[in-house]
Amino acid sequence: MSETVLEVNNLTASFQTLDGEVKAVNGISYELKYGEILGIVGESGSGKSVGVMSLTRLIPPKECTLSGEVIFQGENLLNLHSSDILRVRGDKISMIFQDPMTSLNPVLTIGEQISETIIHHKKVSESEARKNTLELLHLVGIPDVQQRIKKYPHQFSGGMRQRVMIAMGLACKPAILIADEPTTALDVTIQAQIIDLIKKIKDDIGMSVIWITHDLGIIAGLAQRVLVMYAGKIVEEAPVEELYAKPLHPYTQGLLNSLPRLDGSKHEELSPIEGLPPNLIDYPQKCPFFDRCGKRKEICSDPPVLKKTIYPEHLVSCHLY
Amino acid sequence: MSVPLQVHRTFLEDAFRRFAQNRLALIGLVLVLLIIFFAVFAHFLAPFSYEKARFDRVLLMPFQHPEHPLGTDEVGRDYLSRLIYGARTSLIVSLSVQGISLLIGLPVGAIAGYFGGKFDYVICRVIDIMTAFPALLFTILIISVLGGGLGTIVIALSLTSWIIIARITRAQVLSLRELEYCIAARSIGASEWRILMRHLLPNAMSPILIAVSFGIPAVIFAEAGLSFLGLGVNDPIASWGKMVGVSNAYIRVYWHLALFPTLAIAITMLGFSFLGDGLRDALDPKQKIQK
Amino acid sequence: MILFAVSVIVFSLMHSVPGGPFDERKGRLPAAAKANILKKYGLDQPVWKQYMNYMSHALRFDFGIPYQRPHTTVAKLIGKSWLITVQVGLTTIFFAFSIGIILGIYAAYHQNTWIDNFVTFISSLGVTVPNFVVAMWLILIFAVHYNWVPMGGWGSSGQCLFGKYFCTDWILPVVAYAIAPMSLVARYTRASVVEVMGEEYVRTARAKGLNESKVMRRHVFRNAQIPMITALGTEIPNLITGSIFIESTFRINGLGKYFVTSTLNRDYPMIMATFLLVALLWGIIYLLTDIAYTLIDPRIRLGGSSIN
Repeated sequence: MSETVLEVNNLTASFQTLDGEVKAVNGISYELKYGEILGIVGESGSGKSVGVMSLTRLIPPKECTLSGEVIFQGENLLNLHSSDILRVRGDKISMIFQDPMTSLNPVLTIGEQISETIIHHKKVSESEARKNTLELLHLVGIPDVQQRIKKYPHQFSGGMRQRVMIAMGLACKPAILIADEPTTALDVTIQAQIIDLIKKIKDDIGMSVIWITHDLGIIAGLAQRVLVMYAGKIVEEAPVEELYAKPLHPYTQGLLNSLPRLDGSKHEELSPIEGLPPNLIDYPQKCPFFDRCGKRKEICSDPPVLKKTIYPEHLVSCHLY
Repeated sequence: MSVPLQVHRTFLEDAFRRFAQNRLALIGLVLVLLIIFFAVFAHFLAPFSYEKARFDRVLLMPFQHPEHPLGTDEVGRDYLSRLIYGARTSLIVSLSVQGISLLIGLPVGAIAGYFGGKFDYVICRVIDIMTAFPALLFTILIISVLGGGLGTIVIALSLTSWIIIARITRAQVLSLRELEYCIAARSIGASEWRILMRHLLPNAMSPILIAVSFGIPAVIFAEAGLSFLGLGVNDPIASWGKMVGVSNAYIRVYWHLALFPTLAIAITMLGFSFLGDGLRDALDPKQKIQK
Repeated sequence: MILFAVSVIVFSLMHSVPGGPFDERKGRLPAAAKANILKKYGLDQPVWKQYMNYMSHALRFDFGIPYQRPHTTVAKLIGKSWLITVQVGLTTIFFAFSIGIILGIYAAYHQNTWIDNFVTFISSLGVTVPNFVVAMWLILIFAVHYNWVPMGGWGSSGQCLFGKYFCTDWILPVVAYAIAPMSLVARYTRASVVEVMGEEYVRTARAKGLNESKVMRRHVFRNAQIPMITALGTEIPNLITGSIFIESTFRINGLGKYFVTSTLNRDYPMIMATFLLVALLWGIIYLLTDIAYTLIDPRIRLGGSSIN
């Protein structure tokens, strides 16, 4: 099935700082299909985290102003009353974060933390929730669940903790799971396990996944479609094989070029992208990659660059096309 | 894209700047300077002697007599003068106590931190016990042994105050020691080392300076409290605390006896407190991030 | 262990003093009479023996006879005062902590608004001004000027809530005593809550869709308690034993008052007894708060056994 589960239209998240306005997310639009794994790639500061946190309005409105549309199950989440968005969070759209040590409450047992979500949203009894929790822990591959359910986060290793986080995220069988760099803090073998786990579960539950990372290697083995973000905007969007085979945007090309290759010669120098990401304070209207782009033309300093369709399913935000 | 200009300031200039921007700190500074002014020039500022009793002018209310704008106490001494001299007492006690605390605390803390070993262990135990236990009670105990009076209070309070200085000094020496060895191990050139010392020293001195600046009002409080209870300075030395203590009996009618010294104490404490806060905020290494 | 050290220190101090309660200062006694008195009080025995003697008696709560009033025993004199001091302390702790915590949480939740700045400023005042100064001001305003509440005493005003508890003459002393700790509690609470609110697991809790009240209760406050108890733990024993100024100002017959008067009179047994009692009280409560701390933080309780 390829029905759309989430539709994001021109989402902007702006912060008022002492030095001016910062648009961490600057008018992004995309769709998430049923059962799809969408990868979002970008460097630090590209707006990928803020982008997904804005979907469920996790950033306090005092700090951040949102505009645009986030359409989910027929409603614009940005317009929902504050108590209504609470019903979506955790239950229909769930999120897991990067560092499971700091993302889990140290003074509650993992059982309590998982059951808490179930009790709050499904209004079941504690014993009922506990049964569910045990099943979930089993599902994510934690051994000896009867014993572990009573343990505290600090008594687990990093990989196990992240599995707990995943269990927590899946507790109410959400329609969408957002994973914000969940494997960045883990070592590579554990990474692989977690990725396999997500892929398997996604099919069991019928869930869509948004996976954020700065690691291009992970995306290759996991996602079906990829968004590349830079300075708060989406610069390229494509199915994963196409992105790697035919990157169109100069930034994407630069990223892929900078990766060390197994088949490259030993004496090849790595080629990073020159320059630094732009300062987003009161950013002028031009292509965000302008200063670092090797292929820039005069037209690129013009007003915002819109996404244009090149190949089917492959979109890019660049004057070159 | 222009890189924001980084202005290079020394640590002290930075601290000074931060301090000057802190309104409360400046108020504190002004108050403290005022107190010091009164204390130093008490002799010239006070219209009367602080000790001569005049039994024909006992317990006058403020403005009752043209020569005594703040009234007189229970033996006819001018209250204004007593207040002014009280500043002197507070300052003398607090500065002496802090001075002695530094004299004892700095070397003890430094040796304990630098050499470690059994000496350090013992000192640590002492510090632990004495920090947790309420110092005031201990001080009173010492006073009970030594008798009251100005000298006794200074000794007693010093005995409880040096611990704080020692603890901070020890901590500083410990961290400095690590740094020194690190540098030596990395064999950076000697001149850089000297620069680091110039930066390290202000860093090391700051916590001690801050401790002293908070210690002074603490001692003023202690002296006032002890004198309030009758365990402090003896008559006829003017002490705000003593004045308050005595005033309790007369409070129904002669409210001025209580009001003025309490105000004096409060203002002094607040002044030093704001100053101390300001100093701490200005010298706090965490705030060295420049905009 | 600390108690032992304390009692040794105290005792040695008492005896290292070149002079005693019957010294020349109080008036001359004929040598024979002096020897007699010394013998009666056991002061002529070697120091360490006196100590053993004393401690064995003390453990049976026999503190001897106060020098100033040879008619009653120290124990009888202090007996009631012990309870009064504890009453003062407990009532103050209750009010100071409850109001302080509420203010602290409120300020933390409204961080950087005028509410927060106001609370922070007032609490810095509250911490600085000495409690006897505040006490005098309160007396001046509410007892002298307005005559709403009595000026002194504890439990003797006749108008009480529960029999002999919560009387009108409790009001001023408790308020005066509570202002400083309340401000301290508010400050620490605010700092602790602010810090916890910035933690990632609070974000997780919100991402799970929990409402604010659940987030604050289960996630924020449970964690904020921990550093608070560390910081405020010593406040509790200090508050119970530190009411000296308040007792003196309001003429409350508590342990503090006796401590002071016995010091003024150089009354050995009284001083020893009151100090030991105070130290004992302090030690017990210190231990209790330590235990509470280990109970609340599972990381300490269970250690960190890593399971793979």
